[in-house]
Amino acid sequence: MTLYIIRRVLMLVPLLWAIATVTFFLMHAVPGGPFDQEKPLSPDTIAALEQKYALDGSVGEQYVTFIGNLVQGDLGLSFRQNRDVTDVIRDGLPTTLQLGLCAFVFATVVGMTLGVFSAVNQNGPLDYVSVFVATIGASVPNFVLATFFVLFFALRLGWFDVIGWEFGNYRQMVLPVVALGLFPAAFIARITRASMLEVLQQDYIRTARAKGLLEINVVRGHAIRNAMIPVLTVLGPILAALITGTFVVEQYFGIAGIGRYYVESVASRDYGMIMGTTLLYAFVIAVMNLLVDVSYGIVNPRIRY
Amino acid sequence: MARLNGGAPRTEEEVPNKLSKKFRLLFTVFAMLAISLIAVACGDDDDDDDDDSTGTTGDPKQGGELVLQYVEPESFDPHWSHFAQDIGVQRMVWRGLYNLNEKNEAVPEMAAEAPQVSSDGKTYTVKMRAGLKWSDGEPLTAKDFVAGIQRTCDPDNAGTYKDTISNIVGCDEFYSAVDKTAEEKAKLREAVGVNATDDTTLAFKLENPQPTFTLVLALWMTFPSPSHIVKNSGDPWPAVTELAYNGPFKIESYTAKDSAVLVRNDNWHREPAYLDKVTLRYIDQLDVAENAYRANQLQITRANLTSLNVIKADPTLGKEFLQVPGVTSRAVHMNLEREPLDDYNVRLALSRATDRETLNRVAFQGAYIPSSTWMPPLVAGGDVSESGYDGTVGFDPEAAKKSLADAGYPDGDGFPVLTMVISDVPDRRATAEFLKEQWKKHLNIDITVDVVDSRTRSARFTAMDYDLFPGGWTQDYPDPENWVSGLFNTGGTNNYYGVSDEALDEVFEKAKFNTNDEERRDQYREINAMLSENPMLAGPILYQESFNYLIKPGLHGPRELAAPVDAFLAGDWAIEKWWLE
Repeated sequence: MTLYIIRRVLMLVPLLWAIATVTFFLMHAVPGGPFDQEKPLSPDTIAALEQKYALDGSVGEQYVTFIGNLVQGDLGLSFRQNRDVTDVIRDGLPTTLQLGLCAFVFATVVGMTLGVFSAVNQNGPLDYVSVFVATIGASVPNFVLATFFVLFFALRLGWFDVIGWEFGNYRQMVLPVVALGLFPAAFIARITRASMLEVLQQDYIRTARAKGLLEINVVRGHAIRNAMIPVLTVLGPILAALITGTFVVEQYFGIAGIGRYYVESVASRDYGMIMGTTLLYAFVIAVMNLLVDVSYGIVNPRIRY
Repeated sequence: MARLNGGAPRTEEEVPNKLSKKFRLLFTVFAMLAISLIAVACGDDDDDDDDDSTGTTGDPKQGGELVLQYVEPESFDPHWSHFAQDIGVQRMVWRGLYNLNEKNEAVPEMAAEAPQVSSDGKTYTVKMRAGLKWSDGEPLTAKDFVAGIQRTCDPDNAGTYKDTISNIVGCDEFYSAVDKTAEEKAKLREAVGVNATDDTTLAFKLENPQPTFTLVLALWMTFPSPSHIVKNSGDPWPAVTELAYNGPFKIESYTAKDSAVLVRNDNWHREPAYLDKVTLRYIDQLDVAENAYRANQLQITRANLTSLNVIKADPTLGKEFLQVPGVTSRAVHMNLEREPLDDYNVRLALSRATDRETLNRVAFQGAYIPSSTWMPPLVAGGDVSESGYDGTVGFDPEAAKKSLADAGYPDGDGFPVLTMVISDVPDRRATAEFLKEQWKKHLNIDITVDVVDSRTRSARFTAMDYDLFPGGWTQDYPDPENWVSGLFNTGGTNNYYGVSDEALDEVFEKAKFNTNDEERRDQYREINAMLSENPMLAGPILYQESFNYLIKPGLHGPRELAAPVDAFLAGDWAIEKWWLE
C-alpha cells in the first residue's frame, strides 16, 4: 500500500506538468490579451506593461520562464489583482474549502440517509419522499435553487442573509451549502438506494435475518457497510467537484472564494491566475482520486495493492 | 421486485393497489406545498413599508456605518489605475492638488489657490496649504506630489494613464526608458518637469501650453505618493493597510473579493467626514446586489437594468430609485478604411434607419437617453442637446432609403454583408439584434453579428478587424478635448476608427493649445458636429448612458450630490458629505 501511494504521488508530477503545458499554450492561443480592454491602452503603455509582467518575450520563452518559476513554487503575478497568485489563492482557498466541505458533509449525510431509508422502505411513503427530493435535487440547477432559496428563505421569511460567508454563522452558511450540496445529495441518494436494494437481496442478509437479528441490526451491521463501496467510489469525485465547482454559488451569494477567480481569470486573460487555479484544481482532483483508491482497500480488505 | 420490511416479501401485484392512495395523497401534498411556496415567494409583500422613501431631511449628523455595493477595484494604486471603480474608491481616500466639484470645475483641495501660470502657458506654479498631514500623522509635502507624478511616468510602474500627463516635460522620455539601466532611469526621473521648490510649492514644466492642465491636477494619476512609505517611484504599491492617506477616509481592512472597510481619517484637512465607517461590499452581479438591498444588507447599490421596469413599478423601490445622466456616449463605430463605410451617404443611411427612441424603450427599459451627439451636452456646452443633430441624422426611414440610393445601393441592391463585432453582454446583444432588424426592415440590408468575449472584442477593435463596432467613450476629465484628442485626429494613439479627416485635424490643431477658452470650446463644438452629423466620423450615435441606483431612505448624500463627476456611485465625488439619519 505504501509503495502504491508513493508511486501515485510521484505520478502527480508528470500529470501536473502535462496539464500546465497544455493550459499554458491553449490560453496563449486564445485571441485577446490581458491588456485588451474597452478603452484601449496606448502602444507604449502596453509595451511597459508587457515588460513589467514579463510578457515581452516569445510564448516559448515565457513557457520556459513559467516552468522555471513553477518549480520554485512561484506562480507569478495576477494582472487583474496586481499581486502574487499564491497570495490570492492563499486568501480565497480557505473559504472555498469551507464551502465545499460543508456542502460535501451535507450531501453525504442527506444523500446516504435518503438512500438508505428509501431502500428499506422500497415503494413506501418514505421511498416516494426520498425519490421526490432526489429528483428535485438532480433536475434543478443550483442557480435556480439559489434564486428560490434567496427569494423565499432570505427575502420572504428573513431567516438567512442574502450575501456573505462567515464560518459558524448559520445565517450565512445554510443557503449556499444547501444550494451547492443538493445536487450531489440527490446523486448519492440514488446510488445508495440502488446499492442498498442490491445488497438487501444477498444471501448473507437472508442468513442474518434467519439467525433472528433485528432488522435494524441487519441493515446497520451487514447491509450499509457492504452497500457503501459504490457510494465511496463517487464520493471522491464529488468532493473534488464541490471544491472546484463553487463558482456559481460563490457568485450568487457574494462569497469571497477561489471559484470566482477561476472563471474571471479566463475572461480577463489573467494568465497567472488561469495557471494557478487550473493547477490547484487539477491537484485537488488527483488527490481525491488517490484517496478514493486508497479507501477501497480500507473498506474492502479483499482489495489489495 | 421485492422489498424488505422485516417480514415476508410482498408480490409486485400487491404494491400498486396498496400504494396508489398513499402515492396520490403524497403527490397532492407535495404539489400543494410546491405551489404555495412559489406563490408566497413570488407574491407581493404586503408588509412593505410605504413610507416616503425620500426620507426626512434635516441637519447632517455625525456617525453611522454604511454598507454599499461596489465592484472590486483592479488596483488601489492611483498611479497605475484606469477603471471607474478604482478611481471611485481612490478619491474617497486620496485627494489631489485640486478636486472636481459638481459643476466639473477644478477647485483647490490640497492646493491653497488656483495655480499661477507663466506668460507662455508652459509653467504652472502651485502653492499648497500649510500643515497638511497624511493619515499616519506624517507631514504631507510638495515632495509627495512630485513622487506621485514620477510614479505615473515610471516605466517600472507602467501607469496606464501616463498619456494624460504626457505634456509634462520629460514624462514620455522616462516612461519609454523600459530597457534602460537603473542609473539612466534615475536621471530621467529627475528630469521629469515637476519640482518641489519648497515644502509647499510645486512647479510644473509643460511641453506646450495646456488650458486643461488644472483639471488634470485633480485627477487620480497626479495624486501624491507617501514618499515616507514608498521610497522609489518604481516600487510596488504597498498593501492598503500599510499605506497612508490624505482623503476624508482611510482603508482599515481589505478582503479580496469580499469587501474593503473605510474609516474616517482624522488627519483630513477639512471638516471630518460625517460617517464613521463605510464598507464597500464587492458584488459584481446586480441581481445579487438587488436581493441584498431588499434584505437591508446594503444601503445603496447600482440598480439591476434587467429589472428596471419592476423596480420603477414597485411602490417602495420605485421611490428609492434614482437615475443620473452620465457622461458616456454609445455609438456604432464604423471602420472608415473599409468600403462602403467610407461613404458618408452610407453612414447617413444607417443612422437615419435607426430608431433610437424605440431602442431605448424596448431594449433598455428606458435606462438611457437617446442621443445623436458624440459629446454629451454638458461637455459640448452651448446649444447642443441630446437630440441636437436629429434633424440631419435622426430616424427617418424615407431619408435613409434615399441616402442609400445616393450611395449607389437602391433598396439595398448590391450592398455587402457587414460584420458587427460585439461582446457577449446583454446591452450589446440587444443593440446588435435591434440594429440588424431595423436595417433589414428599412434598408433591406443584412449584417452578421460576431459575438465574442470582451478581450477578443477589444483585440479585434485595436487590430481594426471589424466593419461595425458598438462602442463609445466615457470621459476621463470634463473637457471636450478628452472626447477628441487621440481618438479621431490623424495618427491619434487610440484612433482605431480609420478616421483621417483634414478639416477635423486642422480645427483640432488650433484648439489643442488655444488658451482662449471661449474660442477653444467653439472649435471643439465644430469638431463635435463633424463627428456626430457631417461627415459623421464617429458613426451613428445611439444614446447617452445614465446610471441607475437604489438608495435607502435615511441615507443622504448620493441623491443630493449626484453629478456627472461621479466615478462609480451617485455623489461619490464628495463622500465626506454623506450622512445617515
